[in-house]
Amino acid sequence: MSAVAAPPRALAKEGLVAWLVTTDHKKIGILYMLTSLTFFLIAGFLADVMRLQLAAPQQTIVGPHEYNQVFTLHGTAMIFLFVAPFGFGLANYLIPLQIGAPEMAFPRLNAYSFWLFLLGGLTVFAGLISQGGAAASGWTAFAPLSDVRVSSGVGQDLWIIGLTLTSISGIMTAINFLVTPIVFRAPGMSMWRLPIFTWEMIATALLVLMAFPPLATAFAMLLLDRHAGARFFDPGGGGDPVLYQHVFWFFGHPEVYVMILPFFGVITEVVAVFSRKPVFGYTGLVLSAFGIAGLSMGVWAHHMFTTGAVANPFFSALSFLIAVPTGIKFFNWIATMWRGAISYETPMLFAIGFMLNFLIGGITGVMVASPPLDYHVEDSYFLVAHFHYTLGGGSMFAIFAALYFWFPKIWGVKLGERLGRVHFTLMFVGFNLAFFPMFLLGIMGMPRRVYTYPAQAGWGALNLASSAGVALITLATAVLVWNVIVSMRKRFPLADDPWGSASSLEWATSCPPPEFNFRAIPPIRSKRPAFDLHYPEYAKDSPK
Amino acid sequence: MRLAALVITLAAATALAECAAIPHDATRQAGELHGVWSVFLTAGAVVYALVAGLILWAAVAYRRRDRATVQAATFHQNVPLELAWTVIPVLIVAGLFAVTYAAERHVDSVVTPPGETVQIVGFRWSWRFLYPNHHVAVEGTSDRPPELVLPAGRTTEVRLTSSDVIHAFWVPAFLFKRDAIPGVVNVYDYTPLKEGVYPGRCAEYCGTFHAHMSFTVRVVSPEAYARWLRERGAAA
Amino acid sequence: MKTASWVFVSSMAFGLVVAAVYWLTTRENAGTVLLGLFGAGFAFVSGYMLVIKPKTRLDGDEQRAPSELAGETIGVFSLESPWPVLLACATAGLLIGIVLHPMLAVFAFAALCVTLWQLVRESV
Repeated sequence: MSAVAAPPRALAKEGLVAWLVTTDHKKIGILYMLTSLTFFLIAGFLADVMRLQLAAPQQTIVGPHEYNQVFTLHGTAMIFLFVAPFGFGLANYLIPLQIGAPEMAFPRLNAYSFWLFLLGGLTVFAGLISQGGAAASGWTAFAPLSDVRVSSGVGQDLWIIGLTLTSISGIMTAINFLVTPIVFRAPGMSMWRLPIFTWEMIATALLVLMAFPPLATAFAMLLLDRHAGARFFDPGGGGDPVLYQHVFWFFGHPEVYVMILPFFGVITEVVAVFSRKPVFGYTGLVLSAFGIAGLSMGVWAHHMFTTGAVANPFFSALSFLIAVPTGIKFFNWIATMWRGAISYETPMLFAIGFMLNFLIGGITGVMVASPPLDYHVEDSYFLVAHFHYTLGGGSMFAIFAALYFWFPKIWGVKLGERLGRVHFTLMFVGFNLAFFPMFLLGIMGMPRRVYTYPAQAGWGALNLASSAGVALITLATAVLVWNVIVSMRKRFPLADDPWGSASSLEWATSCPPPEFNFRAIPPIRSKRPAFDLHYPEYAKDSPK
Repeated sequence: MRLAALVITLAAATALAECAAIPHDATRQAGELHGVWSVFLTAGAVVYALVAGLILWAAVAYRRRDRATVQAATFHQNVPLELAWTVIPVLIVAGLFAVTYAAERHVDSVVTPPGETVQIVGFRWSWRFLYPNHHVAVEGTSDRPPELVLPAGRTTEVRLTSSDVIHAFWVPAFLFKRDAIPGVVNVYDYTPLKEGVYPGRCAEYCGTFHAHMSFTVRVVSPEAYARWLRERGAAA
Repeated sequence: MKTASWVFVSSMAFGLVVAAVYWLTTRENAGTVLLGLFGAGFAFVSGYMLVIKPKTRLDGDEQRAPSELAGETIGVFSLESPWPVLLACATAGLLIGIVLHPMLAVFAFAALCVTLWQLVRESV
């Protein structure tokens, strides 16, 4: 079967213009991943500033107004401009390859999504050069703090507009992610043979469709309050500040699952390949993805337990339940490793690190799902530690695993193993040193979003340890960048599957793939078509 | 098996030790909340030890020994096992929810009619404490944090609100906070048990000087409390 | 199409059920509306798949090998187009203009119309 290219306009084959006008999903995926990684470095720098300021009590390296912009941009960039878009970029690259399609369903819409994302991110940061500075009301921008009477600068408006642009971008992307795997699967690639990564992306796309419009709604209401005399969130005018939180968190909670589901998919693929076994519990992994996605739509007000304005038991019960499908995934991964033949290439190191870290994030998530516990640690450093363990120790580690795993497919070059091990070790030690003390700080009474703290509070030692951990994370990231630079210089031809035991279809084409992805798609008769192609003697064992 | 039991016991012991470090006797509610902490920290530590143990065990025990291995085994499902690891966690979280729900009802419930009432108003960037029955008002600034005086052994109802943006009134020693929302009055109560001075913080980001919005809570004997009210009332 | 239909139908059912349970247990307006809309949104797609296009045959569900279909065209896909990036700039200009300067919004709206028109012309 073939795809026909639209009459070539030959605007450019090489150079900057080629990248500006491309609608090739692989190039767009690369653009997404490179852009999101750049925002990661920027947001990481902002974290360095914060931890430098907090390393000792009562420092004045940055003043309060600067610090407040720094943590606002750090959170905004990490969430909206790094983790989620990296997932979208990886999926953009992989979904057509994994399903045996030549392209995404709507290539021009795909390109439009990317450029909107980039422009949205730049708009958010443009606030830095405006009078009054960038937005400084946190990545959550609660009303009335974000209302114009309190946050009068245009930086807040640019933040709102920038994220509205990224929301539109996400919705367009979700359309592609839903239509493409349903309609353009190659013959033999039934839905129940899709790689787990693609299934997770389908669930993610559903979440994006349901959650991003409410965010845009919250922003529209906020803009109307700020500039059109509306009083949605102003009690003085008959409005309700808690309404903002309802609408925001209705987006905000599914958003965190948008930021983890793709990476559950990554971990599943990596663990299976490096354990040299088929994925265990495929059906459970698929059902749990949708279980998590569905439940995540119903738990939003667990971010509002201390408002006194919501039915805590409803949200607490559903939040506890989400632990069950998440646990199912963990057990499936362990069972995939069980009686395997495990090797410790860098992707597998990061996958194991992911599991150990996300376990802490998940268990502490169950804790804060309990209002009696949340009454103490909400908006404290305990919460900061919890969400960094899931997003940093979880998603970020999975992003590194994905980088090392798919780098050879995308660029035709493997990243160096020795530097990869150094990167992993520094990152694992640094991450835990940075964030574990924060659990203790929260329990001891340290609130979040504070630019300094008093010396007599007794929080200095733990904060210093945490800052030391962030220094290690920074060093680890430098090692990664160095690894990429050094590895790109040494190129030699790679096999279609340089890891040796991969199963999904992207490993049945060259590194990197040709235009329209496949010269010839192999027969698809199981859940591991590439493995069947490379090892036909084992094809009979492949789960059908 | 024995190793697993040892690891689990160690985890539980660590959790309990950590729990002892959490303050728990400053108020009646804190005692109840601390009980919930004990349950969750212990359960969390045990689950972590179990699952992390399994991960690390698998990672080490099933190392590849022959570089030529391409497929180590073929099993990919086990329905009874998968059902078990679905049902058992549901039972565990149901138990955790039961503990949670019981404690929450007690902690959130308010004694009526209230013995003593204090109105707390958060503003950028300090707090105002009003004792309406005694016509006493205490107002702080970021540089001079205010002190909330409460009688030990009595229940004081708090009526909490804000006059500008959302703040949160957090006394870590009481293991409890509540949001101060403009246009809303949040009602809860404290029954302090131990005399002492407890630091307090604002726990909802409210702008530039959020970090400076601290206060203290001084719990005194009922006699000292009455004396303090008389002195403050006279000074007004 | 069966599995794909199931994905949307179960999402719709879940949304509507949770919305009902939420209303009955909390009587809270904002959450009920949000959950109800989530369920109703999926009703659109579910309806389309179950009622309007139930007999669609998809390549992926066929048991043939891909090589047997060599020569069949599955679609026309663009390789490049200048309109997406231009349309994105126009969209950004429109939204930024709303908060920065109305003239920017007006120009951007005009640019949006032009680029959208060109994009549609290019794709049909």
